[in-house]
Amino acid sequence: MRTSYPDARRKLLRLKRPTTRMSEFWLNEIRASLHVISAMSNLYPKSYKRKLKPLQNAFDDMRSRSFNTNNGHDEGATSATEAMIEIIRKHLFPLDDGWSYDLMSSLGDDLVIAIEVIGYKLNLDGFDDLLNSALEDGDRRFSFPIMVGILWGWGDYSFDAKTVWSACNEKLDWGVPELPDFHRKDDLVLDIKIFRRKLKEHGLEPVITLLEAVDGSTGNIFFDFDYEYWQPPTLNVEHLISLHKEWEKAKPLLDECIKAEKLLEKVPNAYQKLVDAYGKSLRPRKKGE
Amino acid sequence: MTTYMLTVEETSQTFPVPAEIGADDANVRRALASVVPYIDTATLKREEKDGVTTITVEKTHAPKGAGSSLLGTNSAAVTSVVMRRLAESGETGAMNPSIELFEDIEQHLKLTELKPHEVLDLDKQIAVALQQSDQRHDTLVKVYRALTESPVCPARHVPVGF
Repeated sequence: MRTSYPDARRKLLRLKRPTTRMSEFWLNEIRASLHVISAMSNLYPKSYKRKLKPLQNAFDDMRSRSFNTNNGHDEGATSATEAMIEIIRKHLFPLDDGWSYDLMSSLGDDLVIAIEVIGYKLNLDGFDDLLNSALEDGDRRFSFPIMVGILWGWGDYSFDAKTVWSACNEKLDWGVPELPDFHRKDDLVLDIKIFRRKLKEHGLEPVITLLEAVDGSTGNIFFDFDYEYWQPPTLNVEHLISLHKEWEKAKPLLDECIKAEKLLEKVPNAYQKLVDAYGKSLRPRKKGE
Repeated sequence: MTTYMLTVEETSQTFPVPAEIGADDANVRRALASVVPYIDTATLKREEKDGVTTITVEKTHAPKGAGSSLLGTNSAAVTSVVMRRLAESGETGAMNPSIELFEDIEQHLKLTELKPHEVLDLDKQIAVALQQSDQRHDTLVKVYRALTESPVCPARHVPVGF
């Protein structure tokens, strides 16, 4: 009976007894994998075995990759971790690129997963950079969040808000030269129901979703999560399943945001209509609100 | 009155010893304990000629380890007790639980084909194995610390084979 070189190597490596440290490391890796296997079998009961094939290959090759190193694994993510990341990305939800690139060893080490956050949420710390960049190169991609940020009174600029608004209006072509008088009025709140109705009248209804995304109040973790304030989710079956379901809900929201961005570019006087609808949707703040 | 002469074969030294020591092998061994490290297992041969008893100390190449001693010394008996206790403790030969479980998984399981209840079961087994492995590590650390921190004291016997 003929055997392949990798198969023979694998079998020979298995003759050597692993150290306690290596066994513990691999058991932790297997334990992390079991969460992925469970979640996949729950979500894809008919096809999960086929989808998990990269993971089984990684298990088979576990020893050949890492047996002779001091700590039980090479530098960089282990093959099982790489397989888990690939499976999660492909079948469950997107992961943060920087995190998975920097992952040096094993998901079994700390049992956390860093989801990819859709970057609409406006961050107070990053607002000034966003503003400066838009004013320098006139990049209209951030036109909407910048307008909203100024209306909310964000930014630590050296000029007064009216000057900044005017510069943005010119550079980003808003068609709204004057800073609205409701700017930074803390005694007023936006009535979402009215705002939605007003936007609908102007054919700009999807903008309400974009506003929630910028505000971080969509109720969806992929839009609202902030690594500055929260710990990344733990890797377990419940989280994997619920994150997958969240991602399924995030997709139409993302489509809605993209649609809103296109409308803001396409609809004539869109920013003027937006400011108008915003102003007419403000109401006095209630007690305790 | 008999005169006793002691000869240490290994160093070819010969010197007289008092009768109260030379008359008894046990006393000879006790007297030489600090200068002849293998005295506990050495063979003492006696030859008598013209009123002089020559006691020759011959080094014996006894078996290493803690097997039964041909000499039947006390040290062998003590070491045998230690080995017997270890054998009876149930720990002898037992593999670290994490190594045992890992090898078992590696040899016998296709992880991605496990059924949901088997996944749960394996998860529990891994948790238990890792916990037991930790406990064993803690015990080893304690034993190591106890050994390294123990004060030095003279041995009461020479272990078989040394």
